[in-house]
Amino acid sequence: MRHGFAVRVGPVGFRIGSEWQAPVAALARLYEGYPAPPDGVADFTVRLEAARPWRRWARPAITIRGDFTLPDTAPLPLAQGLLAAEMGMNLQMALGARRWLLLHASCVERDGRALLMSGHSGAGKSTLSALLGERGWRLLGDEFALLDPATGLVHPFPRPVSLKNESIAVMAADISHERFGPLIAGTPKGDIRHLRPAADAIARMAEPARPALLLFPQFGQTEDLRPVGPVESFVRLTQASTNYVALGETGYAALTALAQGIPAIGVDYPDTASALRLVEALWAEAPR
Amino acid sequence: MTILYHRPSGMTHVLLPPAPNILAALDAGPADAARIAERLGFAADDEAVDVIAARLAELAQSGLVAIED
Repeated sequence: MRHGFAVRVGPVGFRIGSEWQAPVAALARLYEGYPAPPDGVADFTVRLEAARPWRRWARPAITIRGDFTLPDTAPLPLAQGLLAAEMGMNLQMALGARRWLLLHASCVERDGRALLMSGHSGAGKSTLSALLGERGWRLLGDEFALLDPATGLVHPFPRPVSLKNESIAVMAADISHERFGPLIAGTPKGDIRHLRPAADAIARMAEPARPALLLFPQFGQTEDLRPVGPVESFVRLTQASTNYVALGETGYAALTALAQGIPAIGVDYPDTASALRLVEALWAEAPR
Repeated sequence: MTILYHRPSGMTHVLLPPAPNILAALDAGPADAARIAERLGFAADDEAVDVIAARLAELAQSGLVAIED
């Protein structure tokens, strides 16, 4: 490919090739301070290719390709090239990762213990993890929690946080603009802007943490807390995992250990201020 | 509720009572519904046996037990 970029995020090395310079330049800016893959060898490759040869120039459209691809994905306009690269990296992890049980969850750490937050898209797990990452917690990841079946530890995967719509302004109010990627407007999920995690999250991306508390946040409801039993927790996490079935009994053992080992609580919250207060209160009560 | 991983199929099942109890009762060897009711300490009346027979049929359908002809 004409243009390339390589980066390590937690235990995973990526290389991204592109037929255009712009997405690669945007990646290099967004991932400033991240290390390169060890020995230059990447685990996964993403390629941003023209949907048709002439679409490199005429109404340029990006097709996401790589080691793992989904059929029938709609091409993205070149203006959304950074998003295409991020989606491509997510896709490689979701379809290709086998060393960990992948949970679609955000994760933050304090005192060596990890707080996991799982929920459907729009539940606020990204925003909450990003906010906590600026308030004394270490961000392990806003998208995937990497659960090691051998140790039960969660490995950091601190990609830039994908902020959407209203949460962009919430975060931009407090944080230097240098940590933000470009505003990507008009995506299927609305406006998206990426936020590079705090320097500490990147510097300590090789340090895993022991899960201590699992929350299922839900935005837009009146404030409410509800204990979630291990079986419900387990079932919801199987639904939140991209590779539970592929890992077979290894995944089952890892997930039952997690669901039985830590308390889980459903958290309905009307606004981010109450969410942060509830999280801190629940964390203070979590068994040590 | 009980979660069960079925090695031969690689499938995970969520079971409600009395299905887990029935499977546990079958640890002692093959049995019909009446014998299972007995092993579980139920009075072997028709109702208990009917319930167990119905659950057995469901367990057979999901591949968790095999029924001999």
